[in-house]
Amino acid sequence: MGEINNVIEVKNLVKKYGAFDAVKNISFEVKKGEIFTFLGPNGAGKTTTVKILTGILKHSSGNVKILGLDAAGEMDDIKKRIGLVPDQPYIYPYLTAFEYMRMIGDVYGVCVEEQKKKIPELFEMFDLERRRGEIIDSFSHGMKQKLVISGVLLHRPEIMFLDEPLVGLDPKSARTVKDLFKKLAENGTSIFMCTHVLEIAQKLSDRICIINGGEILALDTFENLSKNVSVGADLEAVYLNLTAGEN
Amino acid sequence: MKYLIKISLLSFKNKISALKFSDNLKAAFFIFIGINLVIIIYGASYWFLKYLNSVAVAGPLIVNKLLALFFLTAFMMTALSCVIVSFSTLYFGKDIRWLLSSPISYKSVFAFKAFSASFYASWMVFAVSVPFIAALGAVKNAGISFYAGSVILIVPFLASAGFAGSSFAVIVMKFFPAAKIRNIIFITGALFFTALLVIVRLVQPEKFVSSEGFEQLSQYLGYLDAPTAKFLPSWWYCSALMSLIAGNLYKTLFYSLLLAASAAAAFYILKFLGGRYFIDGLNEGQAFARVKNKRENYKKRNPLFTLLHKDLKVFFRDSGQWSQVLILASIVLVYLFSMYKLSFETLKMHNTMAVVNCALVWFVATAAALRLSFPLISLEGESFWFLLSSPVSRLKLYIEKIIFGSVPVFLTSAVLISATNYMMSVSAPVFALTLISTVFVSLVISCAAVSAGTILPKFNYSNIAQIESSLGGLVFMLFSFFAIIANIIIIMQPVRIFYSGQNFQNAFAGYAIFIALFNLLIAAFSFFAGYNALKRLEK
Repeated sequence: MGEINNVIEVKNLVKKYGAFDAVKNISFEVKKGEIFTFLGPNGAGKTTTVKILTGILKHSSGNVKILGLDAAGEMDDIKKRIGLVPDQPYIYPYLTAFEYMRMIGDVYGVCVEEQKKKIPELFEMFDLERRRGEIIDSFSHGMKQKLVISGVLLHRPEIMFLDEPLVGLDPKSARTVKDLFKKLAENGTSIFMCTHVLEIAQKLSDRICIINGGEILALDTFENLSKNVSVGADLEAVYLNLTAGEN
Repeated sequence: MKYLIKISLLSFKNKISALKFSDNLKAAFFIFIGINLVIIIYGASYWFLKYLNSVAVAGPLIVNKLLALFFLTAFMMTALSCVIVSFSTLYFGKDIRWLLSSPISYKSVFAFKAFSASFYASWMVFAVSVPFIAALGAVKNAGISFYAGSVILIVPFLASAGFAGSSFAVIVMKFFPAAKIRNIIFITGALFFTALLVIVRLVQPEKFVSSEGFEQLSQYLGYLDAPTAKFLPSWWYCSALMSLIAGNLYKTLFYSLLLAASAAAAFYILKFLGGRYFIDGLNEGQAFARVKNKRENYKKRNPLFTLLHKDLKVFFRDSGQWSQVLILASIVLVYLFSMYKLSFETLKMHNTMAVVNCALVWFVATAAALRLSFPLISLEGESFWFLLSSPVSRLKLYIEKIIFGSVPVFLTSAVLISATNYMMSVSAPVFALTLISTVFVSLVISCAAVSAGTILPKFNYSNIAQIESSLGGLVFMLFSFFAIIANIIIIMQPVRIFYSGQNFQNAFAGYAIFIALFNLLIAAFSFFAGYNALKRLEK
């Protein structure tokens, strides 16, 4: 099997909820090792797209290929190679942090030896070591978020889908996570991120896709997007210009 | 406070106007069931009270004792329910933090939530008490003042119980770690209801209905001192009702004042405790919960086993589930006790009971499935994104749920059918046939429960009871009911052949195979209906 350049290929993707079109005929590609950011106001279709790409939702029409596999028929194979950090870190409240990590390891087929090595490392990295034996119900939002990110890192996905990954994280953890994403991308992991935080999108992303009302308004590097508005414009100006100031 | 009431009323109004057709259908069905239940309670109470009241000399006294017992139970149930409801309303409500961050004073928030808790804890007792009291009025030929007075006075009576329950909740939240105490209270509540159920059954009320048993009933109630606890509002309410019937204005006023004073006192005590300890108790709610997990092991597990392991852990750590198990255990115990007490003198009775017993055991298995298997998909709740995005195929996930959901159903039905058949000294061939049938019917019940729970899941719930009472629960019960009836019709024939002395050997194998195939077909239908729903499930 040859090297795949575009790890995500989306063509004419549509998602309908009855008469409502949540995603309207969007197309884009994500390259290997790229940090690709979806930016848009609330209800723009960002989370719906992520849910389709991770197999939680089924699309109404269009083609989705992930890692060269067809999402319509080979989703179970795709899921082994991707990881999701959802917008809300809801995880089993009655499991301990350690049990959660073990569950992830076993469900994703991470060998026991690797789990033994990586679980303590990840707990250490995210300051969870002290709380590893406590049930998740007692964790704060930020701690749950760190645990979900740890879980995704445990099985080394080829693509990481991150829906608002930094919400609720303390400054130190946010910095750790940002550095980590950059490092992962450099090593070939593709990152598909949805965020409201323009500063993160501007600093981290290789390309930015601005979406509103289920439609792609612009997709390019920050530099090119900036040029189209006015030279030297920051992402906030680009974003507000394209979305007409919508929240 | 008025803003909070406004918000509640507006939410209620919006909820009603947003009802879909299926919700309306469900509401209509429940209203129909509710009205019938009220009529049944009225009818049964009227018959029973009239029967007791007609006894010469001791009749009215026995009715008095019975009333005292009834209202004492109502008082205790309301108070205990209010303890449980207060935890979820006052301390673990989804809106409580937001309300406290609003400009509304925390005392108003507390008062509003305490009133809500009392309301939610007492409405069912109220709904049961009204037909009972109406029956009492009819038996005693009471005037209109009795009916008006009884409805007015029940408010301070139930309020006293509710406020007392909330006060208790406030105290324990202040002095004990929340996570643990919540579990303790849930378990205590479940144990209380379990004990109540078992005690009521152990009293063997069926004996009292027979003419020989009536003397025992008179003695039983006559010697019963506990219900006449004259220091409790239950007795005051009971006395106020009897004074209203007797037309004794002075006594009616006296007991009404006592009731009003007790409600006011309970409210002020609650207000005092709330003002002092409510916020402290909320902070205690943040106590960490460390699981006593001695060894962290790294044994290799396949994904299916991993998920089974996860469900088992979650099941045993969720106190809401424990109460389900306790209630189920009490049903099993009561059923076993009932069968133990039955006597069979004729062959015909054996014949009939072997079949009736099967139906009853399967209904108990249905109750087990409704509580433990049906909610399995809904219990994934907000964490469901993990399974849906994980590499575990939906088929594997569904099979895991079926396996997990089958265990309690198989255990319950196999233990019950074996024990009851043994108690009834059922002949070996009928024992074998009913056991085989039970195995296959249990498979149908398990598949149907998980399937209905997948087709009609309820992910937004505040306690497990809401999942069981959802539309899906109703659909499952109806499906299971028809499957049981169909199976009963099938096994009636071989059992009849056996007891009629005809050649059973030939019929046995044929019927056993037919029962197996028939149930496998229904189980397969349920399985695939649920699996298709899971494949389409989006969240």
